[in-house]
Amino acid sequence: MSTFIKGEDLILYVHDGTIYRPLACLTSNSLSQTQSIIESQTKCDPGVTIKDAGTMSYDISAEGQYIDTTTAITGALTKASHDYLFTILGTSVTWKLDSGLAGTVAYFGTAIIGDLSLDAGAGDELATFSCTLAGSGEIVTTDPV
Amino acid sequence: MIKALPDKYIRKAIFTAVNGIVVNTKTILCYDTKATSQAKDNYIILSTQSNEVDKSVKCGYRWESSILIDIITRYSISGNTGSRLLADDILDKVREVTDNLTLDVASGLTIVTQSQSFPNDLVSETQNEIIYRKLMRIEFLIN
Repeated sequence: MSTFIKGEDLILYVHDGTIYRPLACLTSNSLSQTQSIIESQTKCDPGVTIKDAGTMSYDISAEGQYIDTTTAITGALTKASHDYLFTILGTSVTWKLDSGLAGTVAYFGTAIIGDLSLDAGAGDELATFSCTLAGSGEIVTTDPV
Repeated sequence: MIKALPDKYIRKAIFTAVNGIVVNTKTILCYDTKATSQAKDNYIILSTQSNEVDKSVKCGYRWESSILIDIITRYSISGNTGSRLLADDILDKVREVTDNLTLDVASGLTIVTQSQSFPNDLVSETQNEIIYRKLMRIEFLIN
């Protein structure tokens, strides 16, 4: 029987030098990988195109509702929202994408936060943020920290 | 994880805010679901409540809750049959005092947002009296 994984279980974390902080409060996050393909046509292989794997690149994007992670009273000091991501914009961070479920694989890597935005609507609309992490290097399944 | 159902905490917060308010020199009492037989002609009823689990964020489930508040004023069908004026004034006072509610700390629940809306008035007549009702619905997002 297949074991389905709910999207809400897959949480994105960033390492702050001590612990992995979950991004909060996430409404969605995604990991997108691109593998470039090198094509060659030579006289050694007439009439066909030979393809080889080139470089791999990836991006991680996340969207969420903005919460205060700087005030102890909210109990969210161990989370990362726009206020924390703002302080590490443009720096290299170690990230983790993990469901926390037994038997599932966690992904790790290093990335630079390249985009960060904060949206504040009117009335009862909650403030939201979004960010994009530009991946650097490989994605691994063992914790590098 | 779903937190405790907020219904009783919402009613407590609203009851505390509105019970005994004075409007046009009249003290207005508040009742849950139905008034007692000793109720005066003007009172507030905490009516139907509904809840829905909000799963839109990964930090945890939240409640989308609402409650209907019923403002009731009664007049004799003979002579001066009154108007909606008192009901209007009671509703406006209820709106004012419920504009920024907080739930009992012991509940572990926090109101993230709340909004008020005002459905259509209701008027009904019996053999002896005419009843003017004003309604207000408060919708909450509760964490």
